[in-house]
Amino acid sequence: MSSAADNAGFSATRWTRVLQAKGRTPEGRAALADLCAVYYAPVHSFIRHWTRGHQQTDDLTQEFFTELLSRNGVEGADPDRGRFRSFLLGAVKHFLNRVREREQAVKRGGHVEFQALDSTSAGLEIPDASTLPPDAAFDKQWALTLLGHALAALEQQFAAEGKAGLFTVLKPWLTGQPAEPQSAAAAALGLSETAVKVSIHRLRQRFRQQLRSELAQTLDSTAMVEEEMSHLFAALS
Amino acid sequence: MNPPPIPCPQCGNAIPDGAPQGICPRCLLQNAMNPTVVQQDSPVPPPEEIVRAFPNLEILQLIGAGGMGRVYKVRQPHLDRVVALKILQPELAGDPAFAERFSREGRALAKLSHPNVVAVYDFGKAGEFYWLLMEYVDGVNLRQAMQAGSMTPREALQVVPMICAALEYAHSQGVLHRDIKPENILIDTQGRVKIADFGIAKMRGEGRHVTLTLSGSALGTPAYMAPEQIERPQDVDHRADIYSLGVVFYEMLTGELPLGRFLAPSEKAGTDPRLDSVVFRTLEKERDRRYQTAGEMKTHVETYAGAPAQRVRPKEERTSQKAVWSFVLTLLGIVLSLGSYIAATVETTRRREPSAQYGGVELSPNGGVQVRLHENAPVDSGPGSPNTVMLLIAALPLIVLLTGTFLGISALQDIRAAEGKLGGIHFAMIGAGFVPGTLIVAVTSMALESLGAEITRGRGRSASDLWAVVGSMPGIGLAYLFFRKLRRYGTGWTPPAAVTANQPKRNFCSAAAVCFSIVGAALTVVCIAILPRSVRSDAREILIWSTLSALLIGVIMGALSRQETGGRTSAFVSGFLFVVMVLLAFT
Repeated sequence: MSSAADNAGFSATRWTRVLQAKGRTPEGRAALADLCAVYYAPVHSFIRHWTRGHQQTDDLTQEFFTELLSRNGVEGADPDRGRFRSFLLGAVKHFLNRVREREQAVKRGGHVEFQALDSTSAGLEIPDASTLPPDAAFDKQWALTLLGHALAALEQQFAAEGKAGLFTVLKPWLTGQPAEPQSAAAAALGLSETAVKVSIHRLRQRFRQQLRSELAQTLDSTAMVEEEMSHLFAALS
Repeated sequence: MNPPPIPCPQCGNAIPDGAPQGICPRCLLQNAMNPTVVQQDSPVPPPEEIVRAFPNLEILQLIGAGGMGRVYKVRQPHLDRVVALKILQPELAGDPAFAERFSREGRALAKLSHPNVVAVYDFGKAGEFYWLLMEYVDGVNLRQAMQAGSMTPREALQVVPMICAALEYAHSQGVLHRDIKPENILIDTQGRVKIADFGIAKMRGEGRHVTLTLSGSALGTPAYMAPEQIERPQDVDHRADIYSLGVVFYEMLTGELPLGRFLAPSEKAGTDPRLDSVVFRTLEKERDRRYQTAGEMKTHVETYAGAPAQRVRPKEERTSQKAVWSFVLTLLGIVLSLGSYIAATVETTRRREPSAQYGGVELSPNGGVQVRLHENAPVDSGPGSPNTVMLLIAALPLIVLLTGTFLGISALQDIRAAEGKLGGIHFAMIGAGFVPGTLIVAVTSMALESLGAEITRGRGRSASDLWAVVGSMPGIGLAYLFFRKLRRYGTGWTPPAAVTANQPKRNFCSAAAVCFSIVGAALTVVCIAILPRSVRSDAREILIWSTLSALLIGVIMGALSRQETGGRTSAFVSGFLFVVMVLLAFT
């Protein structure tokens, strides 16, 4: 049953479309822009970490995305890994290293270079490298963004169905068994406790689906969803 | 700058900044990853051959798959209704006796029509598929419901009688279920219970050659099967279903299966100990010692569902702090009241000395009430003056007592909401009930005292103390009922309508009816004794009117408690005496 879902469902995720087009077709670019719009927050927080403040953060984030989207192609992406998250993190690190090089060059009066820096290892050798936030922080922010997005999308769906109240009351049960009794929720919703259990089961199921489909959009293959989920769960710990 | 991080109530880790909607992201993600819940709603395209075999149906999605086969949610376009299509495992078709068994059982199932049984609309064979078309239940099964949160005993007591009703009906039609388990008990979005897969086990022919080893693979788990169903499958009767239901019942109450030497539900989960006997009787190894019909079991379960829950304290229960505080405040209030009474007495005596009395209310000898304000009464005065002190002395105990009352009410609500996980009901009861209970006693006592004073006035000797004591009796009775009411509220017991109809059980209305009828009858006797003599007219009126109102309340209360024998009798007696009184007083 699940293998059938994997073969038949999600024939092309957004990230698959980006990879297939190598970012060159208008569809591929549109898919990339969509993804970037969703995962703006992890990049922003990564850059804020790096700048240790927020004076430049907004400008740099803006500059990064502009550059990413205007660049012709996504050759920087490692197609074997097939994850938008890895691609974006690599791109942002690369970008920040170039920014640092640029600024160091300006500080030191133009073209004086103390060390030969090659483009790949530069970020790791200069002293400032300690300011690069750990990948885990980026992944953690990523997980938060993903969960927030799935939750908001679900909330919107419930609101569209006229069941916003149900969502608000039963939301705590998405995390398991909250302290407050279900009888209180039942009273608030005017349902029997057994009916509340049915609704909770439904809500969890829909959230699970929503989360998986959001996650699948950033992956090349739906087979990787489980793996990606465990990775993000570890990042949250 | 930032507020301190709030720990997640579930995993205890701090909830990080930027957590979506303030929900712990770890728990959220973990729950979404939780593999115990099978994902069912994913749109799986049905295999081509099924679509081809059922041209008249629109296959919507796969909603379940198990040992028996697969279930699809389908639409019948010409009827515009959604139904469930069950396709039995294709391997079954290989059994030569299957076709005959299938059509015989199918006909029996299609005859079943009960609100708690999933209806079978049609059955047949299409291509190599044996299929059943059934009612579609929009909901989840009991297993999934238990995963969504453990069942409270109250819910179990709501669900089990519905299952009993379904079994009783099916058994009366000669159909056994043979595979009662949580997966086959469906609950719709309204909380209604419907049993699915009646008799499918028999269709599959497991009745003839099931063994322990085989059933492990065929039925999933034999945990729900009666001992004789495992040992002598050809010799199964309806009592096997009752055993299986007992296993489900035990699981609902305790969250575990009754394996080996299992504990009683009350020991394990702190449920009403009287339910233990019901559970043990359904789980008897010898079927002759079980309930002999599902109807009998239903009656017993409903008896306990209706009786006030006698909960044993579950081990994890803690005492409500609010309840303890309300009790302490009530005690403090009582001590303070005594203190202030003494203080007030002392103060009044001290003040009487210089200027005898500064005002008061007095009954004048001719029956009227006279308010006298003494000319040199100290008109109120700044802080620290004797009057303010008096006021404070009087108000403090009142404030303490009322705070205790409100805390007690709040504690009762907490205890009710915690459903047995919070103790201290007695503390809360005393805290919440002391002031109202005292008021009830005081009011009835005062009422009868003044009435007694009026009656005996004409004869010279006043026995007001005796009247006050007599008057406090019905007050104490009422206060007792009031406390019982509070306790029932706290334990969260509500009388289900169906049960009160069957069980003659004194409820509040009938108790009140009895109480008022007795008072009314006593007053009627007094009236009959006194009225013919010459009594002062105001005393006469008070007596008549209080008798009439007591009797009237008795009638009303008796009428409100329709089914109660006590209430009904009281209503009749009160009504009769009412008529007598009217005739006696106004002719």
